[in-house]
Amino acid sequence: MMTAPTLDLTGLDELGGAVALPRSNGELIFDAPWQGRLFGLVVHMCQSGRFVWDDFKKHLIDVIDASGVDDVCDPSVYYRQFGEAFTRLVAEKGYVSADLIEERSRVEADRLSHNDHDHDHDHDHGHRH
Amino acid sequence: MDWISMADVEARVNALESLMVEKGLAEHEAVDAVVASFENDMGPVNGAKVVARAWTDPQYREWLLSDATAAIADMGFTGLQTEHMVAVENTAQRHNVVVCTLCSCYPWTLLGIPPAWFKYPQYRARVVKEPRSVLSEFGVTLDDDVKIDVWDSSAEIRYLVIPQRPAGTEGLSVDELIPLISRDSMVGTALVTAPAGA
Repeated sequence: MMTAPTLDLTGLDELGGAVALPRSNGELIFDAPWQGRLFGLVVHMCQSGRFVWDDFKKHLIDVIDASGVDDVCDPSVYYRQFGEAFTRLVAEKGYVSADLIEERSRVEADRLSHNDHDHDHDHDHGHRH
Repeated sequence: MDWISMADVEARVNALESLMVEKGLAEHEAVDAVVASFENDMGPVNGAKVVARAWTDPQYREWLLSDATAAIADMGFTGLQTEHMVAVENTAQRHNVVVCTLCSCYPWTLLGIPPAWFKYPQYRARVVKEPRSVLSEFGVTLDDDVKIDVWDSSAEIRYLVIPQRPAGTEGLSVDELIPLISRDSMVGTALVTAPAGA
């Protein structure tokens, strides 16, 4: 079983700052799994040296400013801005083009809406073996 | 607004993670590790509380098995993706394992953020066809006479596996039992074992 390492957010987070992570009583808060996955992906790539936090933060500030919504208390708002900032960052770094992200997002959206019926079995419940 | 719409954001996040992994810039397991480091605040401990109560309170166990949605709501765990819950109980004769063959439906308010493997096409396809082999790869070896039921989650129904309470834990309190109950044991890809010395 994977043991949880201590998450070191030093340099990634600034309590009370303009781009501070949503927290409740000091704990990070998420209200949907995608927010945690996105946060995990960004932290992992930053920690493994794919970008420096300030580059990401610059995009995040831009997105928040442009949206005019700075309610960082709502994770569903904040992490959408977080995702947009990350999309801009990876395009800027040349890691993946905006077009490819759009294309893959459409595929994922179809999958999530259960429209990808390219399976070889029915979606029955309680398969018996 | 020129940022991602609410409807599309989950798809965008999935796309970003899969593209980063394909480009060799990230690893699913490393994202799992970051997630694991904070998910206990919101994660499988809720599901573990439900299971520990079912283990120690026969009336609650009956209720959970007959109407999991209400029994889980009674613990205060309500909301997205726990609206229609079904609890399935492991016994000496039957083992349950949960998958979502079409996407990644998951009772995350009970179990936290789904692990990457739950979304892998290999898991989603293979656990239906050859559950015994897949389970053994997770380290769960079952006797041949133990039946395996594979439950396919959907947008309408989510499943919670009630693992078997291990021998040697009869004297433990609810609070002592909770940490023994892992996320994977409530998906069916792990068993619960008694702590050393119990």
